[in-house]
Amino acid sequence: MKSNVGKQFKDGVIANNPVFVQLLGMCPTLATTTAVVNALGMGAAVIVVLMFSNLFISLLRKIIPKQVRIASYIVIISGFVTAVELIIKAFFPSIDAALGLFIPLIVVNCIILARAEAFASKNRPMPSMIDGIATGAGFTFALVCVAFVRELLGTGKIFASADGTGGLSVFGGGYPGAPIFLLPAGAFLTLGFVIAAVQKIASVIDKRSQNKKTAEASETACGVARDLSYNEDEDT
Amino acid sequence: MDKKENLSTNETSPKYLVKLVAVLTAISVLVAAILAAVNFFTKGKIADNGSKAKEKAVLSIFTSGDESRLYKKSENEEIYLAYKDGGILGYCVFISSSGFSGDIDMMVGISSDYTTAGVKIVSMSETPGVGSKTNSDEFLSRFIGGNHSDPVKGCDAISGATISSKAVAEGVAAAHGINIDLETVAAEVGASVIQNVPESDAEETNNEPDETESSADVDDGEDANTEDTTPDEPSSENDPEPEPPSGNDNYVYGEVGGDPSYRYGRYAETAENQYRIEISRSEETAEVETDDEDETEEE
Amino acid sequence: MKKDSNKISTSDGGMSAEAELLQVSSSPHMKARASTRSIMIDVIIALLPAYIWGICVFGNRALLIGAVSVISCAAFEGITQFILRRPVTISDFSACVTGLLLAMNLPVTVPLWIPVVGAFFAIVVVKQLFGGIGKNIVNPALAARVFLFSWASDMTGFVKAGDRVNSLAVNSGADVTASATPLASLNSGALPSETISDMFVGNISGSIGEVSAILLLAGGIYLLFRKTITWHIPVSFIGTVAVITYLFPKAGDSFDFMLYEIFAGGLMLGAIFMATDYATSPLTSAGRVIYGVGCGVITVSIRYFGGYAEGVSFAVLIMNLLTWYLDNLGMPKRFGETVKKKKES
Repeated sequence: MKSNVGKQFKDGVIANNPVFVQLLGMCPTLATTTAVVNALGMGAAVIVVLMFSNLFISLLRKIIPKQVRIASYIVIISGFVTAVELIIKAFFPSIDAALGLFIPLIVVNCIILARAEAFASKNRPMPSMIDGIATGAGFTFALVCVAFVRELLGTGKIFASADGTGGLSVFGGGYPGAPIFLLPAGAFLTLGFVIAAVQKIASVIDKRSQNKKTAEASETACGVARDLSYNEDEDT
Repeated sequence: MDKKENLSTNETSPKYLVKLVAVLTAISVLVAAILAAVNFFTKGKIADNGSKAKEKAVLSIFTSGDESRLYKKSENEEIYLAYKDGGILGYCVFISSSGFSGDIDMMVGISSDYTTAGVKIVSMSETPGVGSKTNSDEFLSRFIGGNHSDPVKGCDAISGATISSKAVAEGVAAAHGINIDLETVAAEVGASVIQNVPESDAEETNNEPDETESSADVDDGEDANTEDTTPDEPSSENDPEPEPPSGNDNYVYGEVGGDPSYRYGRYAETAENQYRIEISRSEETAEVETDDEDETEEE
Repeated sequence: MKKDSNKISTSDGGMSAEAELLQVSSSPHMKARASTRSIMIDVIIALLPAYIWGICVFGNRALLIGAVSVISCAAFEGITQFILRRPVTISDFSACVTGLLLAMNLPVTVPLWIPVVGAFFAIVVVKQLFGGIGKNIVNPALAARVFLFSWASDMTGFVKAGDRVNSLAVNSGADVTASATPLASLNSGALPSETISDMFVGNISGSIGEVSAILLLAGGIYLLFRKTITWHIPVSFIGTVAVITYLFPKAGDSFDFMLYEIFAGGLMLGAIFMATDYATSPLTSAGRVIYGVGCGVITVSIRYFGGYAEGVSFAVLIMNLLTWYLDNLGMPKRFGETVKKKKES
């Protein structure tokens, strides 16, 4: 069970990352990544929604008939999103002010419906819930990556708080800031470059593991050949 | 498994349809129940957050005040009063103006001499990092000292946040547009008005409404002749187009295609804005000049 | 293994750097003398008069900005091609042309890091990442200019012609008086105070290279003479703007307003030098005319109804994106191709 959980997490965050690999949920990725703290808030909301919606849908999967499944999923998802929105409004008003209407927009985030349809409707509750958390973690990771770059280049400071104050100044006070990175155009640019970097890293890692595999395979083949020839030599 | 489903779909019996409807309804009811519960627990806190934020905003504008109370809340107006030791320091108007991505809710504080004491943004959902820059002290403090006739003081917009900053400016102008006479209000509430020690500029411009500087008049249709409630002022000698500082033939002063949106936008790079940049760069000597010119005009 | 298709092994046993691939083709055997490099040199020659005028009226800083821009463009191109293991082609001067065009689009008071950032965006992102010369989907210099618009306060510090800025650092407000460009006045619905002859010669404020209409026209005529560009795009672009502004003037006399609008802003520079970029404009004559008309319509729409004063950059970029479609219009019929007859019902 434990290795399964680990594998699910690795899958959700790296191998099958909803933003970098599946390219789902682009809209909040582009819109809420102007600051790392916003990205974290959005990611946390999505994790909570994913977790509960996956759990519920998995619990109800045998009861929901095929014809109304999408409608039911949407009802459940929107219910949880609204609940999360109310909780954020009550207890985290600064995050609510920062994220604005992107919290209710989680309802139409493809990731949630995709996980519900692809995983939760076919698996037991516990694995579904873990899958929800893992996918949400992957989403958060992706968002934080993009937000880090955008906030760093756009304002020169990182980890500013939700209302825009504070933050570590990395380039010093004289950095004028590149407002393009805080605008939608910069979001697309940054996302493109980040995805390219991630794909490059993934391909390098792939190639290395493949090289390792072929090296091992050839080693064993050589070893077998060596053994054979040794035996032959012995005979003569 | 398939066969079974085929049977049920082939049937399209009322029983199967009833099952569909029943399941969907049941799920909806369940989710609604959960939501109702969450709402019940959070409603109070949310309302609290809202009113607390507003009262906090009032007191952050009138820093010497100790209490703020809602005076009037109607469809059009929501006015708070700032108290200090039982006396009224001024009033705050809660304005909601439409910004770039949603409403910008702000509190505009006007002190007892009818000049802007401060502007605080209570909630906005502007683009973070861009439109949200209007929530900076540096921008909002520019509105301090404006009066009924010149609420906006020709504020330059924040580069890249034209619409958001224009929305804030419009809100301030609208706040000044609401006619409140503090004396009557004070009588109603049973408190006294604490007079603000007026600045020399405020007094001058208070007596002679600078209708000539039609720059800040966001109510486009109205001409310079419409007045505020301040009594005894000449409304006839109004020249809607002031003259730019003399010696500068390059400037054209006029409304930008009838749309006030360009006034505040550095983006739009209008002649008018360059005129204003010129004013601020020549260290406000031109501003004083214009005031002098207007005064001599009206005499 | 280094990919270098230009080298073939010769009988002397080693790789001869001078040997070139031999082309095999059918007659007629005529070789045009044009190469990328000669075309680019022509463009530079055509741009120089307007640029030198910009240096004269705006001060030596214009020269500095041009130098920074050209050197950064060349440097970024070399570095990127080196990293991507492509042959380094700085010597075809295409990066220099991009650099020069970018510099001519900037006001003289920009801080020096702006041309560098613009050069990075133009060369690395727009040109090299899309595949190198000929494969960019939009005009690199214009895309960089639009990218730089996001630093709005730095990019709108236009100064009066004659206010020479010679210093290295520009203190806002200290050396220069900000001046409203004629385009800004036109946008606000009034004729600018400069005379038409001023605008034709270039005694106005604006970006470094866009002020002198007559010198830009001279450059355009030189390019027409050298057959580097054809008349279709500039004529249809400027003509459309002229027609629309003549029919719907915002102020003053129709004819005057039209002339002001044509000579104001970056229209001349954009129509002659940037809309005609080979990779991003259509091949066919019909396509070119439609492209020019489209650019003109969008320019006037943005100038009249949009928030920006200058519409040329966006118009050209938008039409660049439609070039692939316009290429299909007006394609010559292949020999023997027949048009399918519609079915008669």
